[in-house]
Amino acid sequence: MRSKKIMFIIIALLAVVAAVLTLAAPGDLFLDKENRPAASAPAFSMQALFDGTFTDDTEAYLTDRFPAREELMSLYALINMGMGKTEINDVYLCSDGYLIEKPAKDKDYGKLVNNVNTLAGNNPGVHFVMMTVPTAVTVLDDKLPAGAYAGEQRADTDKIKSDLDAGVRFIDCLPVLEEAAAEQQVYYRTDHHWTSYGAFAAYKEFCRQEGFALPDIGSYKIEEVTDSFFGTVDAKVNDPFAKADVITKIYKPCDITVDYGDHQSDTLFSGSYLDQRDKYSYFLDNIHDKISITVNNPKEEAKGKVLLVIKDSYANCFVPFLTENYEKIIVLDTRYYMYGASSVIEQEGVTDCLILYNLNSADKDAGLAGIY
Amino acid sequence: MVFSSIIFLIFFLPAFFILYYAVPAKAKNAILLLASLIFYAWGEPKYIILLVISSVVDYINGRMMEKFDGKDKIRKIFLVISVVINLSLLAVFKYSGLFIETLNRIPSFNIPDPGLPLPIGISFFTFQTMSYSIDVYRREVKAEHNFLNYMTYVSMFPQLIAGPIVRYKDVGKELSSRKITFENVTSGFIRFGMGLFKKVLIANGIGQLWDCCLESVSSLSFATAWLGAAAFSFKIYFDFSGYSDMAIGLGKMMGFDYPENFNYPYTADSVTDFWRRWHITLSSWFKSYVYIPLGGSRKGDLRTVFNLAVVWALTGFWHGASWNYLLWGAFFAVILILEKFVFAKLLSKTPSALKHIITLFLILVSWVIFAVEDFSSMGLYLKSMFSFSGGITDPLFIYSLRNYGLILAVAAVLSMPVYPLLRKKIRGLEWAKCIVFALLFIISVVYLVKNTYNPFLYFRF
Repeated sequence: MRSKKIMFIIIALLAVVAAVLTLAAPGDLFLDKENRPAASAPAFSMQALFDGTFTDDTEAYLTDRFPAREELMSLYALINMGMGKTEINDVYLCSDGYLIEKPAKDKDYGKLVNNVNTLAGNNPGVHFVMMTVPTAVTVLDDKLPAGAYAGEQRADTDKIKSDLDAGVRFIDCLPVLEEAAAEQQVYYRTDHHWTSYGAFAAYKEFCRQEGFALPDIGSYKIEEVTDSFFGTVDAKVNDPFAKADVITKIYKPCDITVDYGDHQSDTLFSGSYLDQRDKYSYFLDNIHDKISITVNNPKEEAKGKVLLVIKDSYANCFVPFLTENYEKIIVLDTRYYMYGASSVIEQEGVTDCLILYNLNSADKDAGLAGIY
Repeated sequence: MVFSSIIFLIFFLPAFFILYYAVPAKAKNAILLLASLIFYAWGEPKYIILLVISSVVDYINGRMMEKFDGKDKIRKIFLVISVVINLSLLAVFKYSGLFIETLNRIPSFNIPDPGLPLPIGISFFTFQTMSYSIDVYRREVKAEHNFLNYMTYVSMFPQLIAGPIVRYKDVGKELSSRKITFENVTSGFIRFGMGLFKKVLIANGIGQLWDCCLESVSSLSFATAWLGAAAFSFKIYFDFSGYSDMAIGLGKMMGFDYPENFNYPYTADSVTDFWRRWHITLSSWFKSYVYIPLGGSRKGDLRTVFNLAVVWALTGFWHGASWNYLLWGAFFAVILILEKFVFAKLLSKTPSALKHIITLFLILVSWVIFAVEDFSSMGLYLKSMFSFSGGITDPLFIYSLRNYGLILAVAAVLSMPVYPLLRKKIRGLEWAKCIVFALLFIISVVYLVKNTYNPFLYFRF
């Protein structure tokens, strides 16, 4: 009985220590790995008390400040791996150290396709290209745990293709990504994005279908900009064995002017992000509602060509390749750009429009309503 | 508030016990009542009024029945008041949505649904207060004079929201005087910790497998459908009995002896036996207050069949405001009647192993009826269990075995009385047992922290 009593006292003391540490944590805290600010202190009012928000907010405030959250999350991952789990927090633990998000069932891309069809119908003078990028769960499906649900991106791609109006060119990157995956790492192991190699393979296919000169990777500069990238998928698992990803930049030096809206630059790569957790934002400087890229000495065949890109973050490492083919590129993030793509097409004299989304989030992207 | 949360474990519980142990015996009920009201109001403060109404009504009823001790008619009136008010609370706050929805299916009916959220624990505390009034009416207990004690009885946070259903006569004496020993505090805490482990690790862990099966209900293979049914069976057992363990453990830490609620139900060798082992405080409630007053099995076979049907329809419906629970109750009524009247002789000759298998088979099927509220999904699910329309096996089965195999095995072992057996065999090794317990407790906390871990996929915009 003595041992039980001692154990009880130790656990009780630990609980009190945890409570004190939680209460002592700063009110203003950013949870780095969870990539969000910790819940702020609850505001008391009689109404908040009666509708339950005061207690909910108090709970969120306290639980966000529990000591060693991230370490405990790693411990959780470790325990689950020990139990033979191949899925933690909706992430598959795949072979070769890949962490791949479990896909949702019954995805519906109808809204995206309708919006693209409407936009194309309203702007008959513009050449439209739509590219939906399959994610790692499809391209690297041989790495998934046995029996894991792999989603339906192949069937979804076919459906999108058949539902798109004939005037919109559809580019299916799946075959080229599968081909490239045999040679290169086309997706990050710890992040939900594709790598520059994946984007380059898709760019090559884009050039082939658009009738541009096929790019030769030998004529590009290849530079590893960081080897310590832990991405968003790892943040969901906190896999203690995760190996850092390398971010590679594949580029041709060119003379451009970039207007990010809030500042100007002469490059599409932002080195400052490489010191932060959020390293993928190296490409295209994270999030801007509208980016205008002007190529100062365009090739002869690119002159007069103005491209509008409507996209999600997959396009961020793809857009830099396009400076070879257009004189001006306008990149819209329709989640934030309020004025609609059609007005941009009219004002900027857009000749071509590329719609680029990854299939994992294309059905639920909050900006889809703003495409046209 | 729920037990399986960081806020309860790290803040509420230590603060409560520090206060509770610090104050003199006289003040302990006041502290317990105050804590219970905060516990109940956390997240849903409005409905605390129902808890108070139910308590006040039955407190007054008890006093009145005592006052009119010689006048049976008046006493009966107060009994009826108690039953009517409590059942009305249930009808309005638990079942009105279902009734309105069902009536509205009849053309020309269009009753607006007020959409009342279900008050937490209403099914439990109304049954507790009713049992008190009935027991006072039957003169099985004396009316409680001290309102603080009575209110404390109704609202004690350990069993307030998910049982066990504690009758006043179980704890009446302890409400006015109880002994707290360090020994009971530690063993109560260990009971609580084991319950937490059952709930957080096993029930929640296996619950994911069930969710997964239900999600693909239209394309389940035979093997996966049965695996899913087994998963739900474990989930509900470990969830519910884990909660009861936590309640009983906390009660013990405060000096109360709550009745046991589960006795290894999956080791039952008949469905009749199962219901002696599953949610014992509920089945004995229905037995004392419905089955026996209706005449039980003393008024001939036909009447017994009727009584069983009534009790099991009510038991089913008590579990939730949806018609599938009624069907679930009816399923048990049929089996219990058959066991009693048709197969009794045959069963007595059946080998024990076969009886266990048949019982488990029936229980698994019953849980599917219980778990799938929507009748068309329930049909699909049962079809997968009783045909090969979705194939014998599928990738999900392989995947589930890999991911949930260990936890299913642990659950299967813990569903049998292994621990009491081990405890007899292994004497000594007290430290080792403590370390194992402490590890399980810490792992449970890790799981609770995980529930609050909420990474934001997209970088801040």
